[in-house]
Amino acid sequence: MKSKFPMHIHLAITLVWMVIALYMIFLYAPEELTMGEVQRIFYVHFSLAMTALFAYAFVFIGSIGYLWKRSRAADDFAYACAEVGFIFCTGVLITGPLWAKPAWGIWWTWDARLTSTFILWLLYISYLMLRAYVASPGRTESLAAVVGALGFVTSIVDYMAIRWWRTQHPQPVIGGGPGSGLEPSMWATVFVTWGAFLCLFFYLVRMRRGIARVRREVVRMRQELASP
Amino acid sequence: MVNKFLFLAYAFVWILFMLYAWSLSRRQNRLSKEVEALKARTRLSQRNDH
Repeated sequence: MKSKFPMHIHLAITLVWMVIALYMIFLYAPEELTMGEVQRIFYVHFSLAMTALFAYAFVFIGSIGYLWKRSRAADDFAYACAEVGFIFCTGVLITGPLWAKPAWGIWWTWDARLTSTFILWLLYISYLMLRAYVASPGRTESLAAVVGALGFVTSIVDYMAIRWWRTQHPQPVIGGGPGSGLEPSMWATVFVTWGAFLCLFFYLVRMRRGIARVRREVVRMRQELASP
Repeated sequence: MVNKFLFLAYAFVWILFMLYAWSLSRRQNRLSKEVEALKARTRLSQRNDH
């Protein structure tokens, strides 16, 4: 299914929203008292992480759509979300250690949250490798749907890890109980930044789906030319 | 002065997204060229058939 919303307007909205988010991160949000400047990594780290988790929910929805109705569009959507989700998850694994080093004094620790995020990243790689190297129409999509479902379960474990286990990772800012949470202007910055990254996510997914559509068209044309 | 960790985190994220967007647009251009070439071949083979 092709979206009617023009791509160039989507890109313009994403860029404007991103500029507003950057203004809020660096100029509007106050400096955190204990960590100082470096806490501003939180806004991008949180937005990337939440989007990477949501991406797996979209992969799951797309995979179910394919398994249920054998819908090509649903499978394209799942594949596109997995690829873009992988980029977001990579961003989480880059910004996390860069925040951990000044905050905890270490780049990495194998606690529940960090380990489950790393597993999530590996699952994204598995999904993409499966799509790239298993060339069996129908079977590839079904196998990918299984990995997608596994990734979705892992993303729930990843989200809940800091609630279920004691971790080095900070406790949740959303629904984290008494003592958690943020100052109102920080909340506003969090949501504006997350919105900007979600907008970017969907822009990239639409771009990636467009490529999948053209690629299918190329395969069809090649087959037509090859047939006598 | 901007904290070096803060600078690196934002710089890496933007580089990552720019590289990905660049790779997408390269794939898109390559496929568009391939479609054009295939359309030309289709037209040629149709002309030969007639």
